[in-house]
Formats: sequence, structure tokens, C-alpha cells
Amino acid sequence: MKTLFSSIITLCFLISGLHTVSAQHLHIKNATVLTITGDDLEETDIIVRDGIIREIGKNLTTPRNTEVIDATGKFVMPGIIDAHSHLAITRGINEATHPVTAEVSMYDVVNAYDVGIYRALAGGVTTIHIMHGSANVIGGQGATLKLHYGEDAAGLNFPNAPRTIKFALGENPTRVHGQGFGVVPRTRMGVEQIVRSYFDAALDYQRNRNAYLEAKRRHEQNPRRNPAPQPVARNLRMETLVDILEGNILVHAHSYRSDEILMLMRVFEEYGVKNYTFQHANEAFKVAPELYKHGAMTSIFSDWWAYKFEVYYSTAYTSAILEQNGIINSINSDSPELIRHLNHEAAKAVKYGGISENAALRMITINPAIQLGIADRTGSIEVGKHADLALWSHHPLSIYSIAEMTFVDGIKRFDRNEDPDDIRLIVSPDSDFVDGFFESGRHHDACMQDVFFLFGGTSNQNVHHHHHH
Amino acid sequence: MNIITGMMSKALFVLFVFGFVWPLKLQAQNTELPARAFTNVIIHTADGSVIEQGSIVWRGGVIESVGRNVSIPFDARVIDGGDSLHVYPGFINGFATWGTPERERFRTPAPIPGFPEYARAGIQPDRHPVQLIEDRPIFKEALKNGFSATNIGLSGYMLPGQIAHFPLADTDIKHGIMGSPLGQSFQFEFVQGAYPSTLMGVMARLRQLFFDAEAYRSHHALFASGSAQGISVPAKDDVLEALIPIKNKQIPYFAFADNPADILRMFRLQDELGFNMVLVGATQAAPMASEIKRRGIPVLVRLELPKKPDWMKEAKSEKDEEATLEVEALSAEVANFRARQAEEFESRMNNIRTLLDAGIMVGATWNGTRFNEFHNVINALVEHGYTHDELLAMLTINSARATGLSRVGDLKPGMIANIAVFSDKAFSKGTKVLYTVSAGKMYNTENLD
Repeated sequence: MKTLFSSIITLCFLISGLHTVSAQHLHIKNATVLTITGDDLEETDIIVRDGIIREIGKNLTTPRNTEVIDATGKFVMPGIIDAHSHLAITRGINEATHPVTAEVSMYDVVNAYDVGIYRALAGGVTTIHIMHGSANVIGGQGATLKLHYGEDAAGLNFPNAPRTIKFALGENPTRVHGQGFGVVPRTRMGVEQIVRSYFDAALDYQRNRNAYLEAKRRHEQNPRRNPAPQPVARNLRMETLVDILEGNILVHAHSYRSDEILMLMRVFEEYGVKNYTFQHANEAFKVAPELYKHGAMTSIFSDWWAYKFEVYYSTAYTSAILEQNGIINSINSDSPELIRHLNHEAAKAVKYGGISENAALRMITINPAIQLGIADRTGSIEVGKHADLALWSHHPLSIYSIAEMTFVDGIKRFDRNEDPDDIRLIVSPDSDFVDGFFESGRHHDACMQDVFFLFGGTSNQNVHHHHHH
Repeated sequence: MNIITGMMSKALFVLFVFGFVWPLKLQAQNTELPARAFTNVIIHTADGSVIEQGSIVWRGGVIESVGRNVSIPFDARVIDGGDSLHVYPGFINGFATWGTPERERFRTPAPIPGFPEYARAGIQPDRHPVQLIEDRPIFKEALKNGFSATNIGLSGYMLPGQIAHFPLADTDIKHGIMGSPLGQSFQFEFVQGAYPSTLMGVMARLRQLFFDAEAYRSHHALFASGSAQGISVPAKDDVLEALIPIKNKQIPYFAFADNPADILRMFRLQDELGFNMVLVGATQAAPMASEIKRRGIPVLVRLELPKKPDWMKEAKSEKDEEATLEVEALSAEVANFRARQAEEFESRMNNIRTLLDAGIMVGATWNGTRFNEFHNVINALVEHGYTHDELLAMLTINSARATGLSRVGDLKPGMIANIAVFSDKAFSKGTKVLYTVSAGKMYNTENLD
């Protein structure tokens, strides 16, 4: 997989010359700076050079060739990070034909032209984690993207972000594979068994493959003494599972019920998997001490539930309970609409749990950054970090606040004052003019796209309207 | 098949395979067949140069001589062009699926969707068009329109099959494949209800197939060597076997991609897996032109016009005041959108220009069924400023070279006799194809119905 990844990076440099916009030098003046990892700083300046935050302080001198942004009376916070998105993906979110498809990767199917990226920028978002859907127990690998709207797919990659992978427990995989295809898993027991048996198979594969490579090496050194071994093909699915077991991939596990959360923590403990996040995790509040004990993290909806049987036992106080128990929790959108106002979602945690404003803002900035393994570079306003910044008209947790500008790596990717009529990157000559954004609220379970043909539908789109979670 | 054509197609096959090595010997072998010739014609070679009052002689499917002062063999059947007929290399279609079955539709999931049979998954690189091709009216239509030959591939999903060169001469469509496969199709198409059922699945599956083919190849080699102990009997797998020439860069993928994002995906797979490719489609490839050139990838551009928005069609047809008033009443947003559509339309019309200017080998593919559509495209390209010589090269020598064919696509001694005779310059208004020669066999287009 190293070669795959490095070739992606090489290609990224190769192609990114096409549309690259260079980073501006910025001097943001006199803002209330919500650093997240430090204090809130009033009447404070930020100086950005080459996409990096260089200085934070009062009354800083403007360097040469630097654009000055007067932020008097305004708030600057780190760009919002959404740890659970299915934006900007083309031709399939679920490879729903097998319960384990660890080999597929969202990096292969990024749609850099998705207008949803711009809409997310307009909500102050700078980084998203796009994921495989939840049809499979072990789905595909995720992609961590910087919202450089206007670049091509390679230009969106968050450089050297750790690899991630989607797991899914509960009703979705049992419905798709057990009920739909008549294969394991049909039950939660079966889900556990899939994880275990594939981990075991991956260990077998690793042993066989390494033995083959070692024997081949010995044969090449001394062919007379060492016979040529029978080849063991490289296997991308197994290789990816090995990488999980070796700690090279961060697991994001779609889950709802406390029993399945406990189950996966025990399995992971047994196999030595350490760095993982439960996505959705509606019943995480029931097992908060256990989560803490295992060092597990969570990424939840602020207040959304009852869209299927396994998510009835839920509460808006989950954020607060997790925070009180010391768990690194983020609030995600899983929606092209909600991603536009994740600040409101964070504000609900203050409303319902009475947690601090800083704790709530952490849930959409530094905490998702930790869960994606990028907290050393983004998620807070600190000298040396990426200049991923959003400028707000009011405190971002206020319902009246509006994101006015969004910077990604120091490049202004959204400016409310320079918001063009038509922000599509590609206009097809034969497409219709579509006025406005009709989607509001949650229409469907994005995690379950592409699987509905199993249930008699021929088109995913049709089924969304009558097939909720 | 009568004896003569049978011999001819055998001779052609040999020609094709060994043509480079023994051209003289092969010409000698064919002297027993009668020669044919056009005399007093205006000859246009693929590079656009013109020979006035020229003659062309061919025998046994191979061009013997082309030029102004050519001696006509005593046994030649001659058509005198009276100094008015225009003789061209017969057109070569770089890719079509003519005469082959439509791709199979799958209504229900595979029995075990995660482990489908190769065919159910759309993985069929072992299929060869000669197994499936049927004679169809389209071949005669193509002859009538100046096409002498076409490369034929198959319809399907990610790996539909091999591509081979077929002369359009009627006896050859079913029997007369000329030579070994030119390549194999690879496209971002996926089945429903079986793995891979998504784009990401297709990309992962291709990678895995390459790894499996590598192990398959070395397992077989090891077993065949007979020296290795503890090596099991390898299973035979036609699909993995078919991948080996691609892996070894002996033949290219005909990689289907239209827009920059998909072309980028093809580049990524090429970098990872190391195959050669011919880019097919490429209707919006202009932004990638310099990278296509850098990689030395030939292109078969699909001859189709970008679709016009409704308002653009109306504006052209109705010039009444009402329409003008309507345009004036547009909101700024709609006006801006329309301007962008017009700009995009223009840039798609300029796509081939950009590819040519970048120095890319641009051939053509047309997989339509109604030739008036083909002519609509050609006429629009002419109107848009594409020259006679550019279109000629695309439809002849470039389509041949892009797909690795060196003996077709031009009028030169030793090349296969593919000739189209027009009443006037090709691509000009009112010009008609009078004769088409395909692999030496001549058709009077009026008698083709």
C-alpha cells in the first residue's frame, strides 16, 4: 500500500500544477481569536505566510505583500472539521456486494467538482473525512480532504493524513448481507464473527505472504540451495486488514448500540487494535466509562435518532456525558446539508448538556482532528499550524453568526462578499439551470447509498424518498 | 468463402504478422492474383499531399504502386478516373462495437455477490470479437461512407474483451481477422449485484487482477520449469492469462475516459500497474493534453458533438423579436449560466484542436449506427475550422498508428489496399463516395444496397 499511496502523492504534485492558487500572506487584524487549544484572545491579530500561521498577538506589524483583513468585532476560529461525510464521492459510496471490502478507497473516487464542497466552505468547514457507507462490516478506506474547491481531486488530498477505514455494526450490514444476500452476517453475532474471521485470515495471509517473500529472497540469493517457492499473490484486501492490525490505519466504526460498541472494543483489545472512533454511537452514553478505559473515541450526531429500530435509545445529552467522562468526542454531519451549520450542532451540546463553549467548539475542530490523526497540523489556532481559518460575524455558537470568510491553507476559498452567482466548477452545455439548493434537513441515510437494488429498487435515488434509516 | 478470398485472407494474415520482415517475398507470392488500378485520379495521401493525374495499383490486397508515372500491369482491371475522382486512403475507425452483442443486463444479484463468476462481474478480457461478431448492415453502410476497416471491441463492463482489426470486406467480417489483438478494453463501468459494483470497486479489482496475474504467471513458469519441488499443479485461468500481455506492455489498454477526472484515474492506475494505454473517448480531454502528450498516450477521440442547451438551439432557429425579448428578460444569474454553457460548448468544440496542438496522435472512434450523424459531426468540425488534412489524418493514418497498425491508413506501396474514391474532395459539401476498396476488394457504393 505504500507504493499506492506514494504514487497518489506523486500524481498529486504532478497534476496540481494545473489550477493551483498560491497561498496569500494574510494579516487578520483585531479579531476575537478562538484558539480552541488555548485561551480566547480578544483584539488579537494573526499573521499567515505560505499557508501557515506564523504569529498570533496584539498590534502586530503587517509584513510586506500581505493582505490585511480587518476583523474588528468579528470572531476567528479554526476551520470546522467534519469527521463523517459522504460529499464529493462519485459513482458509489457502498461497495455493498461483500461484507468485507477493505481494499476499496475513497481516494479513488473523489469528485472535486461537487458543489457541496463550496457549500461546506460557506459554513466555515475546511477539512472533511469522506467515508465508505455502512453496508459492510469492514467497508472501504476513507479520504481526508482539504476543501480546496477549484483544485482537482489530487489537489484536495490532506497531505500525509493517516489512512482510515470504515467499519459498520448492527442493522445495516445484517440487512444488506444477511437479509439481502443470505450470507453471514445476519445477526450481531455474525458481525463479530466477520471481524474475527477476517482478522484471522489477514494474519494467515501475512504469515504466508511473508514466508513466500522470504523464500523467494533466499532462492534469488542462492538458487541451487533454495528451491523457488510457490507464489502467494499480493492481496489488497488482506493487506489492508494487516495494516489495521499493525496500527497503520485508523478505524471509524459505524455503530449505535452499547452492546455492539462493547463487543468491538473487546475484539480490538484482543487483536491489539488501538486507535479507533465509534461513528454515530447513539448509545455511547451508556458505556462512557468503558469507552474511556479503552481509549476509544466517538463522533456523534447532536440530536438525531429514531430513524430505525437500533437508534431509539438516544439522547441530546450524549455530548455532555461523553465530555464529562473524558472521551474525545466530535459532532459530525453525515449530510451535505448539516455540514453547512455544524456550529449550530455544536451549540446544541451547550444547550442540552451545559458544557463549556470551548468544549463544544472542540467537538467540531480539534477533536475530529485527533480522530483523523491530523491534530498536529490543524484543528486549532496555533503558530506553526495550517492556516485553516473561518471568520465569523458573531460568536460561532450564536444562531445569528454567519461565516464570512473561510481560508484553507491560507487560501481564501470562500468570501461572502465575493460570492459569485454561479459557483459550479463545471457547467455542462446540456444541463438545466437549477436555481437554489432544495435540500434541507435530512432526507436519507447517506451511509446506505447504492445498496437499494437489493430490495427491489433499480435506482438509489428513487428509494431515498421512501426508504429512511 | 470461395477459394480466392480464402487464400487472400490467409495471405493477409501472414502479411500482417510477418509483413515487416519479408515484404518483397510476399508481394512476389501474390503475383498470381489479378491487379487492379485507378488511373488519372487525384490522389490524397494521409499526410495531405496530393498527386494530380496519378495512378494507384494494387494486387492481392496490397498496394503495388502509387504515383504519377506508374506502369500499369498488363493484367490489371483499370478504372479511369478522368482526372476528376479523388482517391484517399480508406477510412479506419479506431474503435467500434459494430456487429457484436449488446452488453448483458443483470436484473438480480449474483448467487454470492462477493465472489461472482468473472463474466457476471464484467471481467472478460479473454473474449475475442471474432468469437462474437456477426455480419450486420452497418458494415456495408461503413463501406458506402468510405470506411475500409475498423477496429472492433466488445460491449461490457470493466474488462469487456479484446480488440482486433477487421477489414470491412464482406467475407472478412466473420472470418477475416487480420492479426492478433491490438489491445483490450478497460472502462469505468460496473455491474449491479456483484463485485465490483462501484467505481472504487472497479479500481481495486483491476489492481487485484494484476497481482493475481503476476502470481499466476510465475506459478505456471515455475511448474513448467519442472525443477521446483513442492509446486502444485496450477489451475488454468483464461482471464489471468489474458492480462499477461497487458502487464508485459505487449498490447495496450484501450482506456475509456472522457473527462479530466476519469483521465486522471487512468493515469493513476497506469502509474501503479504499469500498462500502456490508448485513451478512447477523450471528449473533454483538453485540460489534460500536456500530460497525455508527456506520457506518449495516443488518443482515439469519439466523434460526437457536445449537446447544445435548449436555449442555444432556439436562438438559432427562431430569430423573431419575441425570442430576443425573452433573452433580455433573463435574470443576471440565468444569463451568466448561459454564458458559461456557451463557453463550455465552445471549449468542447475546441477539444480536438487542443489535443492536436499539443502534438498528440489523435485518431478517431465512431460507434454510431446512422451515418448521417457521422456526417453531421464532420460537417460541424469543418465549420468549426478543422481542416481537410486534419480530419483526413484522424480518420486514416492516426487511427491506424494510435492502435498499433502500421500497414493500413495510407496509400503507399506495401500497405494494405484500403482506398476510398470520392467524387470531390473529402469533407467538402456534396462529395460522394463512389468506390471503397477494403483489403483489396473493391465495392461500387451504388451496388452495395
